[in-house]
Amino acid sequence: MLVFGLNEPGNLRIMATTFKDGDPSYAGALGGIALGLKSYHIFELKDEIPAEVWTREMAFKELEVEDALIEQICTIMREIRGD
Amino acid sequence: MSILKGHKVAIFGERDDVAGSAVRSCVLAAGAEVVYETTSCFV
Repeated sequence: MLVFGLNEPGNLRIMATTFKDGDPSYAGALGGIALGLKSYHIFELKDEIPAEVWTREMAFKELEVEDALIEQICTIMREIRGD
Repeated sequence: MSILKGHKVAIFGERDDVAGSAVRSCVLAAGAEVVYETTSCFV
């Protein structure tokens, strides 16, 4: 599985789609090759991470990002996984 | 059921968002195995 730390929705969509269904632009080595890998963003996995580790590694980053962007990121990732 | 525990994970971080090293610390603490990690800069 893949875990992303990038927050730009367009890049996230392309990368997650590429690892699941193959390169949508057919420009790269994975054009037409569906690896079927599931992708997550680290913000989606907060409940899986021990609280003290999350606080040390992620709490400040989480504060920097607008709630609306986090929701958009999570929606994109769920959509691509087919959850 | 845990999403991360016992799974192999490839990490793609971003220099100005969440770096790969921070993601690595999180997923290792959750019981995943990191098989690849990188931090890119898309700016």
